[in-house]
Amino acid sequence: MKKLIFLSAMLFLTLAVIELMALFADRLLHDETDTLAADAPEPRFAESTVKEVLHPFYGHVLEPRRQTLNIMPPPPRQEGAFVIALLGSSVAKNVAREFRNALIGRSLGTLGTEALELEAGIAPVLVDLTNTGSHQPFQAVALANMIANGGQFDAIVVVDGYNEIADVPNHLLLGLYPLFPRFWSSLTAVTPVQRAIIGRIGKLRQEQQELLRASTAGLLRHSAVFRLIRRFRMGQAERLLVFAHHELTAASVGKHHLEKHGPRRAYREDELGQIGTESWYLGALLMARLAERHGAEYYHFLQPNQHVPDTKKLSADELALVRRASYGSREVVWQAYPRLRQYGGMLRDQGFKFFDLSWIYEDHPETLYIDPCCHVNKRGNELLAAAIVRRIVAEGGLGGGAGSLTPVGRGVFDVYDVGTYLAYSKVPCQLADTSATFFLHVMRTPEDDLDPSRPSRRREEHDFQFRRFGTVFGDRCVATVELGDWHNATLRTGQLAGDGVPAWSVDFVHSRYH
Amino acid sequence: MKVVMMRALLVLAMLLVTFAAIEAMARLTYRFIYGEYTRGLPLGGTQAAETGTVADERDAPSGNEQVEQAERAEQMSFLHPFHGYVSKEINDGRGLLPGQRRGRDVAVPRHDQGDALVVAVLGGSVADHVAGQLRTALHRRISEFGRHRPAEPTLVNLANPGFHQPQQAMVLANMIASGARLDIVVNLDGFNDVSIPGHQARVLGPYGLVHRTWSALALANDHRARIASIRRLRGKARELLTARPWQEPLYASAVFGLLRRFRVDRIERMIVLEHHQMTDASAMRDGLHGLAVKATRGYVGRDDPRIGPESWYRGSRLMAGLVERQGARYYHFLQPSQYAPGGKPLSDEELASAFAPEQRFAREFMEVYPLTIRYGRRLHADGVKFFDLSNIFAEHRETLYVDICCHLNQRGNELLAEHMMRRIVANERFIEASPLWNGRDQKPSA
Repeated sequence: MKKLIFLSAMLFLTLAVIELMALFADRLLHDETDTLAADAPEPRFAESTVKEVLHPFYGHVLEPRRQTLNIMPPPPRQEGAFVIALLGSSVAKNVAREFRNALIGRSLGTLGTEALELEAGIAPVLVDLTNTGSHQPFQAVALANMIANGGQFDAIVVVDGYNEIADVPNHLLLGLYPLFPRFWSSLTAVTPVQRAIIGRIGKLRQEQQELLRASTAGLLRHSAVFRLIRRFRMGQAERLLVFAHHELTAASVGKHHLEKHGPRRAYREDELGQIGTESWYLGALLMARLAERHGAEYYHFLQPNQHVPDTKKLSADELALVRRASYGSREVVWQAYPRLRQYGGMLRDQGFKFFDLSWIYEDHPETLYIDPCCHVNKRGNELLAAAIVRRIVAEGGLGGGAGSLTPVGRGVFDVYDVGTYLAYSKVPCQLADTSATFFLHVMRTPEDDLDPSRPSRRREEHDFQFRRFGTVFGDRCVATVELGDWHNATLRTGQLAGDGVPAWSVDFVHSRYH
Repeated sequence: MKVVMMRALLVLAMLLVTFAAIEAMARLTYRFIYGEYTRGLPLGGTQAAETGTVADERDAPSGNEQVEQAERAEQMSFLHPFHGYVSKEINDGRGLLPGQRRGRDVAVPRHDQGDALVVAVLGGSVADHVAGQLRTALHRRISEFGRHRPAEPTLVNLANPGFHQPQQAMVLANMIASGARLDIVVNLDGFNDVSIPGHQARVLGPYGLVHRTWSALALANDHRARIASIRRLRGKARELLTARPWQEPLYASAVFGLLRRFRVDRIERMIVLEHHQMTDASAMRDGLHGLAVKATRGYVGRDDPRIGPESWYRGSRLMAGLVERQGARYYHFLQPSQYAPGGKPLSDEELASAFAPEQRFAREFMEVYPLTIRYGRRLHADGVKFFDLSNIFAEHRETLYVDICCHLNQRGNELLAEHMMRRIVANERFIEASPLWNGRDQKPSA
């Protein structure tokens, strides 16, 4: 027995020594603030290209499974709906959810004590036209495309400014036309060798993500030994990635290809710093004029960025991220933001509603930025969404033309993004029992039915029963329905039923295609 | 000596008999396998693939047809991020890729280019063909533009064969957002726009307003190496079929013919294999092409011939808005057509070679023509400077149309350009009180 205790103690001591040594080595090799999570790979060129597919008018979009961009134009203006188009890149995409919540709160009169009422019964419908990695003229072309395809909007909201200035130097460096989409050259005229490298990069990224997941789950995440091993493996994957990127660059070097690289144009030295900002201004001007022409309100917001001096007191985590920013990216922001503001002022001079939101985190010392680029966490998105809605309300917006509309008196679903459907009653709904059942009749086209040449596609119909709802905003019931990654789902009818809840059915539903 | 000669003759005779026997056997084998031997070998699938036509009358293109379309599209056009595709046959002054013309550096017409009057022409191939004559007419009649007449008119040809709405609108939006400053925008269209989308929606699935050339190019983009390989194989097959002078005698030989035939067969099998690999279900589904097509799914989800005229109308309205907000003028012309009722008394030559009302596109055009005219009237009522030119050849009995589609000969293009310019000049004179360079966008000082 004594021997056993002695052996256990020795084993425990040995393990403790090993742990201590690993901890010491970890501290010695890595900065204390440099958490494993901070090793999260920055989205890069090639990783994104494996998720992107060609689009005839948008350059490239996320592949259908990941798609949240509205490909299909919204139906013509409906009674009781206030259709808002949101445009921009990933920052705009990330803020869409909070923006939508803020809009719902506003329409239901629950956003603070401010008088934010939309006309009774008016439902905001958000049309997501954001596209990750995009920059002007994408936004302008996408809006024009929607209108050319019959889209009608009550308001157009744009949040952008960073990609326009950040992508130009990279494009010029790689010999690409600066106004072509970010991943265009990787998606067109790709040789088999390049495609193989891109595939390898995607696999390495996946491995990195798995390592990251492992580092935040399970008991072993507390062990310094395992942390050290994971760090070594991350480092190895990173080295392989760098090598693959070099390989890709080497494989891409060669003759200028018009389709791949776009038009070759010589820029004067003094033009170089203006390409992105001028493109941003010209795109904004086109969109504002289009909105004016089609009777829509137009709101343009310059997105915040951590590299803009004196706009936020950065936390230790954020400072660590700023240090990881790629060479030159901070300088680009320093130089270009004043110019963007200048152009924004010109938009205002012409009567268009432009707002600089680069200051909105000024009084927030907590961590909001989550990467060296520009993206923010949930709190950051909430603040951004609230700032957008408040600004619009201060301008007297989101109400124009709605006064004459009347509620349809039944229920309406609005489809917001992939897999998430929000249904809210448009008449007062006394929901005493939040476990009431929500029935939904869904028609869908099966995912595997991809052949575009088939004259008629199969359709499946199902009745679903959901219990995941029960939120009450004011006197309205709101249900959140997750439908997974279904495609081509069309919601036909729904019924709400529960103790003390008068059943109401829904006979109109917005359809969504991905 | 005589004996040697006799033996030699015998050997020669034996050889000849052997050759003749081999040749006869080869001819028999050939006949048994392929039928009658001829010097020019039939090239089967290879030849068919090269001369294959688009299956207009059939429903959906088969896998091989899709591959053939991809090959042809790849030869004639390339992908463009915002216009879908552009033609490789870059003609005069085309700015579809801003700043680029045949590898030379020409700038997008911009506001800092002085007082030059910049006229842009948009549309499909008919607009592309007439652009040259329009430029001539513009230079000839510039003095009639009124007191604000510019010294140097510039015509930018933004038309592209095969384009239909919303492509013209997308080109214009991209050009303006990229910094182009245009004074007059001329849009000549109305054939592709109304005759293609409805059919495409039926044949290709519910993305009728996405041009089939784009879909074909997306497929070609996935398989550039395979397409290159197919072209190499076809080249080899052509070499085998073409006799060089020193090979002439060999071509008479069935043995040689059989060997060539085996080689051609092998090449064809390799081509078929390449085709199969391109059209393999998983490749079609998981390749960029499959995903790209899927990403546009639901773009226009209707199988309805009206989607063409509707899109044509909406695209034109959008273009008018884009142009007029820039302080410029927009002129929209409905192109003439031999299928428009009362459009033209057709000559015998035209009836023989430029008129095929039974064709799918002609039927589609005629079916929606009344609707197109109605939408034209709506454009006019909306304040768009819209002109219906579908009957401008009503008094012309001579041959003007050169094919069953819509294209014109030199005389036809001259007449069309003259008609268009006459209307533009009349309108420009009418609005001469407005300065041409009024309402320019500002640029911040450096």
